[in-house]
Amino acid sequence: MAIAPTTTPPGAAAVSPRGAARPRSRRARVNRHLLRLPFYLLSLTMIVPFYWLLITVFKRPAELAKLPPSFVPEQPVLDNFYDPLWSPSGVNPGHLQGIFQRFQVDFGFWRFMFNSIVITTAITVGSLLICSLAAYVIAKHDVKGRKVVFVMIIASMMVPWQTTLIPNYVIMRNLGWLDSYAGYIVPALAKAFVLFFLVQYLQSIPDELIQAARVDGAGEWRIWWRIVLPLLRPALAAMSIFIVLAEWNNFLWPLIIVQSDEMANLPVALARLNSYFAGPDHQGAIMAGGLLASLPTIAFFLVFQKYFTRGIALSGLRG
Amino acid sequence: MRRLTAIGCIALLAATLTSCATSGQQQTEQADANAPASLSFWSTGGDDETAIFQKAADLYKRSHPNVTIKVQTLTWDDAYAKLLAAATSRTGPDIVSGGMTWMIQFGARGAMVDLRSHGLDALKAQAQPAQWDSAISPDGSVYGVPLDMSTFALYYRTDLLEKAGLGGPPKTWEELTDAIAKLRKAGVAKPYSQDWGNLDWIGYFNYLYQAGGGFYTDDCKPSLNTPQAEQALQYWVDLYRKHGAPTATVEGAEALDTGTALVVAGSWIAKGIDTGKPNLKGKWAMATLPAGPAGPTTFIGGRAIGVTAFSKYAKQGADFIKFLYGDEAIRAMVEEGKKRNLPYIPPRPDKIAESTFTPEQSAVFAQSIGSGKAAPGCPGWDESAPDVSKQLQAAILGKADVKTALAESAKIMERNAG
Amino acid sequence: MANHAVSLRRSRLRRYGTSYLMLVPFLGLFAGFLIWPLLNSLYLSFTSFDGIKPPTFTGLENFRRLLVEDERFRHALGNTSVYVAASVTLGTLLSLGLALAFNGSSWPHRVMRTIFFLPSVTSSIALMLMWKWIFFPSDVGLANTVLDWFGQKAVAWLATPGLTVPILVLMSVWGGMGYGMVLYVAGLGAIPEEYYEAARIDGASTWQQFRRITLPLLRPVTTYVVVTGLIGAFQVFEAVYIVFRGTNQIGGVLDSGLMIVPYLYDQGFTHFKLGYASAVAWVLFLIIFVISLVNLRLGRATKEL
Repeated sequence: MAIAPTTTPPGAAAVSPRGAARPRSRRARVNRHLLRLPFYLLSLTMIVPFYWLLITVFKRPAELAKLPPSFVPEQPVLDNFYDPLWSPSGVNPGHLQGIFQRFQVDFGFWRFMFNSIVITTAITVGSLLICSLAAYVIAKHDVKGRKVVFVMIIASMMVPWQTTLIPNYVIMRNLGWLDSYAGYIVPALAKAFVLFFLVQYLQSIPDELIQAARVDGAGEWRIWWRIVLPLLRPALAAMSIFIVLAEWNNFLWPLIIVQSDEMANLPVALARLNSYFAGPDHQGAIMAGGLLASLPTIAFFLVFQKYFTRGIALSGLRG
Repeated sequence: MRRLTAIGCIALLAATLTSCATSGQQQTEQADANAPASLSFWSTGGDDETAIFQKAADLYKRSHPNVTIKVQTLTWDDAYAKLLAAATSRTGPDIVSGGMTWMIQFGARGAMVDLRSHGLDALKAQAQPAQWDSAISPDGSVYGVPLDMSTFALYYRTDLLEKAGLGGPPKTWEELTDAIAKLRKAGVAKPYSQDWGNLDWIGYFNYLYQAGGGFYTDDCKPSLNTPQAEQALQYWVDLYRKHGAPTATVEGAEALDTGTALVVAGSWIAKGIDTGKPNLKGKWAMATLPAGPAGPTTFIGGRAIGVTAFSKYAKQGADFIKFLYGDEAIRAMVEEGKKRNLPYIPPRPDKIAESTFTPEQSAVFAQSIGSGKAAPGCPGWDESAPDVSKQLQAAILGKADVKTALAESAKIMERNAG
Repeated sequence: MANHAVSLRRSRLRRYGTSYLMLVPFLGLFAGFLIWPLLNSLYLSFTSFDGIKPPTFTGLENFRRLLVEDERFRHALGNTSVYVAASVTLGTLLSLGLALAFNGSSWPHRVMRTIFFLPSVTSSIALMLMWKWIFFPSDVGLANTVLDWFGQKAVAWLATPGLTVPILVLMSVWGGMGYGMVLYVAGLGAIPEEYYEAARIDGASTWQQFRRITLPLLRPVTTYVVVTGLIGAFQVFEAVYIVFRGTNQIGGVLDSGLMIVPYLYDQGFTHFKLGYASAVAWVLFLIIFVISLVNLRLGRATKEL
């Protein structure tokens, strides 16, 4: 968060491959590989927990409680998602509810997936629109007070959001927004760091295009929609990644404002599972829930991989 | 000028929000008793248990077609916070259930209806006396009444006890430590563990009362500075430090399954062992907790239920609670519980035999409950409980000696008694 | 002339009008859900407020209790400090190491980068639940299974006070180093290759190149990684709440995992001492404010170098 406006053109920080082409002696190369070895080993500590999670999902409950634990599911099943043999009366010992059978709300698990998707999408789109609008004015309009506003917004980036937790809770309560989508979305829309980033990005873009449009008689709203937004696309992509990840994982705020079973987002619903079921045989369904909750963001990452690294790099080198 | 306008706009917005933020609350007006009523009931526990209470609510609707009650679940982990939030915001459920003493706390904040005004103090005659006392405020207000019961039992592996040459489960403290030593000698690596109440005041409760002590005197003076309390804590600490009880909480059925011979756990786990751990079938049994020098007193847990002061349907809610004590409702809930293989012990001692457990299991629970005690409903207890637990943990983990831990606990309780 | 001036003013006014209109959504929300709550929480921190009766002003009483009397808060501060120091140091070093090791474009490097980055795009609650399952108390947990391979006795991972903060650090470093790595890789990519060539011509060793070129030029990235790491670490909540909380206490056994934000939650939402919790919130704010200021200072100082 070093606040040092830079004028590096966008994309300058893109990851450029290097190192491989450098001429090097054989010994140096061997040395380099030796130096890497610990990090290759370190990657095992990354893979093993994930592998443990994955095999847990496909083990039968009885196998999960077995000693010593198996490292390849003896007979991989999908029971932890949905177990047709489970019945509430317990006539089929050894069968537990799959993740889709666990929640007593309409649509069960999918309800929380739906909530999470709606909330994340709304906040991402909403805050990008609102912030880009304000960023356009601050970066490109010669209006009085914009500097004061910008400094205030930069200063506010030093405020941990938890400081506003209690008053915001009271506000939600008094507006009747506890337990509602509005309570999730509206307070999360004005994001100072997004505005800051967009302003910086816009400042590095020359004014000519906007001036030309103004000469052509285009209104400010039209310029924002037709010219500024397209120009901002890389910055918006970078920011959307941050917002999506943050909102998808948001836990403390929902924990406080959610009251009914139906309004939980995925993290809160999963945490609820965690407090009902303590035994190892239930871990399969819990991990299945965790896996499903992670798939959207992992897919999002795999599709937009390039933007991810570039977005993070942009934020880090400019920020 | 323009800047002024902008600032003015912001100030206006802030002012609007301020005014919302400080608006007061008003007296809840009651809806017409005969108009259709729709109540929401927040039930602390698991989703499955919610189904039991929903069953009772559906049955109630049959005789009161105007009253619809929807039950929803709060988990034990965050129920207290959620209910407290509802209590302070004066919005949320009409009926709530939760820990035995919680309603007293919410009542003190003016969030609960004193059920005496609906004649529910009459239920006292049917309830277990100790449990009833625990739900009642020190000033006599009835903000909640018992909803169900739970208690402790000693679960044991018959095969492992046999292997160690033990004829039966330990019946006293001495026999318990003896049995642990014998089991260990016989090669049982995990002779003993505690599930419910491990490292927690609830776990200490049994020993405290079995030694003849108590958290408070009858008139709610903190009373942990007694030789009995010390003897109890010393014995409990020794179970961990000398006799190797694990500090990590392993769920009861899981502990039995992984070879623990003696497990102190909640009544509810009896239900799921045979279905959850088919391998254990025929290899386990249960008994009451070993008795201490002053007797076998065991903790009675369970939930209390009450009606919120901000409910528009307080009359209907109170009537529903009365209905829950009736034979018909209890029968329906037990039936549903049996269908779902769930633990449920009605709040009426005369109905324990009709619980969802087998007759043998029910008999053990009835014996425990008969001489049992429940959480102290004294002022400041709920606030003190976590900190008292921490003092007990310090003793168990060897960070404090028994005397200091108890003195500190007493100080905490003294302070919170206000 | 006069006419022209008037019409110019009017058109500027219209444009300004639009400008302000465009700022209104952001500023309105910003004022309503950030500035106002911030000031309000400052006010609340000087009051006793139970959420029902209007707050009563108590002056500095909350802060006095917090800083002088409240052992739990001191405990939370201590835990947090140790956790922050350890997780940020380790996390930064490993991020840098990973970036140096895997900054190429060959597929093994790309695969490695993806593997280390994976936790950053996995649901954080899912990861916490995974850790809880790995450190499961009985022998079926992965951690105890591994101990068993080496003939060690099972450990009560989550119920041993001395292990709480190390486990929290492990979870944080494990989950965060891939993110720092990506930042460092970008930083490395921005260093012009010519610098290294020139250095090589001068006969500089790899280590000298690293000390003299790579490290100084990476300083802005390092600052960013460290500062965001510090700020993030001070706000830790989920890990404590999911993995360590006991039935009626948030900080785990003996409060060994109690941190600032979990304590704020505990005071605010399980005790409803909203005034007191606001004071906790402001202490958190001041800590993060100081870090940011130091960072600004450092940023300026390094620029002058």
